[in-house]
Amino acid sequence: MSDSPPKLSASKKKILYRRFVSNPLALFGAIFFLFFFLMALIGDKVAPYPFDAQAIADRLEGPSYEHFCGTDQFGRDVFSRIIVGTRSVFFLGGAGTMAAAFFGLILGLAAGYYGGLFDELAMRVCDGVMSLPSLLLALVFISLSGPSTLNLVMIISILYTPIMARVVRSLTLEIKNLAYVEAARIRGESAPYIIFVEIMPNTLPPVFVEMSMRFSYSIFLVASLGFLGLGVQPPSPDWGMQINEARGFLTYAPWVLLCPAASIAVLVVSTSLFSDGIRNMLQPSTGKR
Amino acid sequence: MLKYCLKRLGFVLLTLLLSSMVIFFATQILPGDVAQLILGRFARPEAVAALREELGLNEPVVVQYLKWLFNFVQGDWGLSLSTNNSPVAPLVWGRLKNSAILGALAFIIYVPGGILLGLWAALRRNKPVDHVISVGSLSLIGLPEFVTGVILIAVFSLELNWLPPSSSISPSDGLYRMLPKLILPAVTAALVSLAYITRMTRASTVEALYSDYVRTAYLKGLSPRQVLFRHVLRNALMPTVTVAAISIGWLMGGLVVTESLFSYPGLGRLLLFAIQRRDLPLIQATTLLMTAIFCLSNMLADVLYAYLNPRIRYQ
Repeated sequence: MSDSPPKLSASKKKILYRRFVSNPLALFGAIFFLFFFLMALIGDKVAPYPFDAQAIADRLEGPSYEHFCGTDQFGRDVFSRIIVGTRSVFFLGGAGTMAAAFFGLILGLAAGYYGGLFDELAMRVCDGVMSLPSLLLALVFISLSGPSTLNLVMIISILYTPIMARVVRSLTLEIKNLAYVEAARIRGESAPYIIFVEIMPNTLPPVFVEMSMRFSYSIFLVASLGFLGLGVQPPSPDWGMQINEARGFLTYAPWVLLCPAASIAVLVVSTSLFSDGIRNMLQPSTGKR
Repeated sequence: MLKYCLKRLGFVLLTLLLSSMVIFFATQILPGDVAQLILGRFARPEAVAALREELGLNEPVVVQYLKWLFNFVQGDWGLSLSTNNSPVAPLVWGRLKNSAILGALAFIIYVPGGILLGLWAALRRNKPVDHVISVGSLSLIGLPEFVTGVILIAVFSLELNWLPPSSSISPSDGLYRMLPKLILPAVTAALVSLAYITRMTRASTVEALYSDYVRTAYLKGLSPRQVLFRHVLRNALMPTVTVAAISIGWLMGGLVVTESLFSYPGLGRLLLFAIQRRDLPLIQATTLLMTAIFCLSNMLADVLYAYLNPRIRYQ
């Protein structure tokens, strides 16, 4: 009997690929998602203008060939600010979601595998956090600790760790009684080995699915906090903040507001289509009929 | 059933007690001194010391917490720091009333709307209507209220000029004068939940339509209408009812954003105001009240679910 978990065979990869590609909406979502991801990586290099370059003479100009999305109240190029702002959305949401997945995995695996008092305590705390409204929790936390990048990442991971832990725990409870885990135990493998080598790999697909969903929620959260003035602080560009600032001149310069609003809409929709596609690919049985 | 309700209520009270501790201690670890905050930066040290004594700030934190909790339960929520030391309670209750009006209007938009759209999509599954509804609801779920809100303002206020873009109502406004100002914020607050209920209803209806009991109902000769009303809806709407109850709690978060977008004087905007001014008693009162509403709506969902689904009750 081989110790190593079975590798994805070429044919299985092909099946997964076909399943994903056969869903046009997921493909559409993936393309836009990857475009935004690329912008998050290289946005500041490809943006036509520096995001903070002011040109008072050209303020609130409509969309033109020089300024795709017009200029804002300080004559800054709205398109460049959107592109550069992509990074903070991806960074905050991505780092927060990954931290949540990491802590959720550890907590869920430990709670599910060991059970007992630790499990009971951990799950009650998770229930406690999940029973509070997330935007409210984020607002209070940020208002008390200050809107720094670290705090934003921290609150996202605090909000999403419990749900990850719950998912991992219920899977662990199921897997730990399977025959192959039993075999490893009889072989005399240590608990960390069983947890990380035998159980963890099989909890990962649902964790990825959950991560992609949480990531799209976190865009929502980060943008809302930015809109309320508690997100990324100026001068760094932030979509929510851009929208908030642009409300004052919505009547005569709607592009300053509508362009970042449209970017949030496109990113959120493509992320959730993409995440739906990932779920159908990894867990086809739970997909829609 | 009564026992189940009491058990849930006990759980809610426990959660509230815990969150009151979190809220109180979190506001205590803030840098800066409350007495200094009230009197301003240039107050004489003796005055600050006297006020500290008066407010009981020299006592141990646990004693302070118990006193605060005791007063809070009795309805004495302290004095607001940012509005000339006016009492917090009447301010918060007034705003809660406004939020409740807005929330209720949103609720009666999204619950029937979501159920109808979800049923429509499920009955026409994999047809164009279903695809439009499914993609539309998937998109709406992820859109923050301020994005849908500004788009609604841009279309209905600025372009068509049908409804006012701002909703700063005054207490003297009657319902008739308030209503036009309420429509846009109510729709904005409703959209996320509308999308969620639509998806929920569609999914559970599709599941019911493929079930054995529905096939049996058809095979024993019932008409499609009878099958739909007697067998499909009863089972399919069960999750929807509980989601509708939970969504009252979700409205709390949505209202913070919606009210601030439309300048509507509700609880959410009050919380944001309190946060911006670092008005601790006001933050404590609004957060605890919103948490209470959230927990109660969760409890309502659990109780409704147990009432509708006897299998849960006897576990």
